[in-house]
Amino acid sequence: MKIKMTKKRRTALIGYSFLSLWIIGFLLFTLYPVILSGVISLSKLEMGLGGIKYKFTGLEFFTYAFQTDSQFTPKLLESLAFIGYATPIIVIIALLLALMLKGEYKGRTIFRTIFFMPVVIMSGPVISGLLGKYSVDFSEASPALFTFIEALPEVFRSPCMFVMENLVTVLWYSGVQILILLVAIQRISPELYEAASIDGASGWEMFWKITLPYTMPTLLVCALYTVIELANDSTNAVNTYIASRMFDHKLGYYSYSTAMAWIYTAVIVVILLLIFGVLKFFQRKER
Amino acid sequence: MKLKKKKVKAISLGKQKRQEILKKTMLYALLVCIGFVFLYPFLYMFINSFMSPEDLMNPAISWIPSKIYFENYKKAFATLDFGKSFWNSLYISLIAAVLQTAVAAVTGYGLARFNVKLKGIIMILILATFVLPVETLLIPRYVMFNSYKLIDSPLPTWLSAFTGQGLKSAVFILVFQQIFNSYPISLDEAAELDGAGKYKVFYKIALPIAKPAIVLSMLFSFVWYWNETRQSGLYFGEVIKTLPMKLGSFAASYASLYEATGGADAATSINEAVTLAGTMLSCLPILIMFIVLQKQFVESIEKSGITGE
Repeated sequence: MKIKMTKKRRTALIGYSFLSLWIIGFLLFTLYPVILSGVISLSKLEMGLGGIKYKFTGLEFFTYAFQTDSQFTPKLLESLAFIGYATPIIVIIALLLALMLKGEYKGRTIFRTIFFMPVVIMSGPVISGLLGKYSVDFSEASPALFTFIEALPEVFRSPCMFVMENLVTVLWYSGVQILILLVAIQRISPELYEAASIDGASGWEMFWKITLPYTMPTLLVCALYTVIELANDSTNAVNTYIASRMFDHKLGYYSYSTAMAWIYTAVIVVILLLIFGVLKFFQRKER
Repeated sequence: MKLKKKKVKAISLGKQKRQEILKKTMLYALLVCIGFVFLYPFLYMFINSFMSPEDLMNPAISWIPSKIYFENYKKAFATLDFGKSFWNSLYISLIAAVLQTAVAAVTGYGLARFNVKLKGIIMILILATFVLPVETLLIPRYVMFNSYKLIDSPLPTWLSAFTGQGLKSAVFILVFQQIFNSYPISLDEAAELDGAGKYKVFYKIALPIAKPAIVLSMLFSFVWYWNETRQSGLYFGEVIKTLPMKLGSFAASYASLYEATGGADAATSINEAVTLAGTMLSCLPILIMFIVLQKQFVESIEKSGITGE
């Protein structure tokens, strides 16, 4: 009995030794900075000869962001609107492209390579250099389409406008999602489709009754991934604004940017939790 | 009667086949169109980077340059300080990728094969590190590394990679955990019966099985570290410049190199073509790597089977 206990403990110790690097890293490079960030956002930093001094200010910088700073709220809303529009569109486009890419046909590797290439070369400077300047102004390129979309009711118009204006951006952000969805789609057993087609189901029906329910969890994981990716993007309106205020000594150097970063984080986490909740709901339903 | 039946069948088969061909053609047409939209910014960059200042001014020339003009690349090469910044990018990202992969494999194995008490909490915390926007950690990490005098060296990047707190470390840990979970534990146990210790089992049995995850983690870590500029720009951007950082400050470096000396005329002042040549050059190493290894990129995702279940 005694030997068994020690063996169990030994195994647990070895287990922790595998996890130790991560645990140390988490405490040092994540938990400590998070706490420090809390302290910084709640106080005003002063850079003196003796190093950094913290003067406690409470929630002053948080209220400043909403009440005094006329730029923060619009920038925050701009980023959120972008995330809110782009996420469902990216996920839907990724699903459609994955459906087109599935199966065996000539040239599929070439198309996969093309659709995946942006993931590899995307970096802050490249995006701002390429996508910012050369997005096509479609009101000039195709006036007919423009007037058609203009005439649509608001519910359809603004998403359509968004897609047209940000077409390349949206496509470029969907590379990883396309591949993940492709894996999920190819995992659905072909027998399901065979059985359905024997029963006389059309391709359209099969999509709604087989493909979509089976890829739902993956779609939501893609949505989570997309939100995180877009939220962390350095060219995003809030992120550029936060970075621009980082060395503002009137607002306690890092204090104000840190407070803004916390507000932004809180909003993003709420969005992620919402998507996660939906994911859990679907996973439970499946079982 | 029999003959008639056969004929009907043949006709309907022909119809089906025609429909199949039509469907395929439409699919290809769609894929080509979308592929073009994907590649448009890239083609634009490629073509315009070869335009001479005269071609840029000429409204009649929009797609095909009158002659291939290499001067842009010469200037961009010098502006980017290509050799040096390429080397910086290479060693910093490569070391970070190796460290990140190593720690992700070890952590993933620990989570998959040991039932330690804190496992649940650690899993939640790993997800939390993925969800937490970089913005929140950026400043306090800077303050911290600054107080340890680690700023202006790649050490902050490497240290956080080596402890599983690097760029998207959580994703790689989860990929490794999934792949270690997916093979039968009896393999591990058999090796243990033969007298191998837990570490040896990990090294000799688990790691070879996890090869797709290793490929995935190496490739993606490398690419993401290569392209990352925000954190690294803060940590060591003043002293060590990587290619994307140089691209970020392209206009300024160009001005100090060329415009300061000989007054700004059309031949020396910065133009779109030079900037595009710079962008092209900074993407080129990664692009070549991707084209050479594109099969591994796509297959590594497929084989490691991330679908989020």
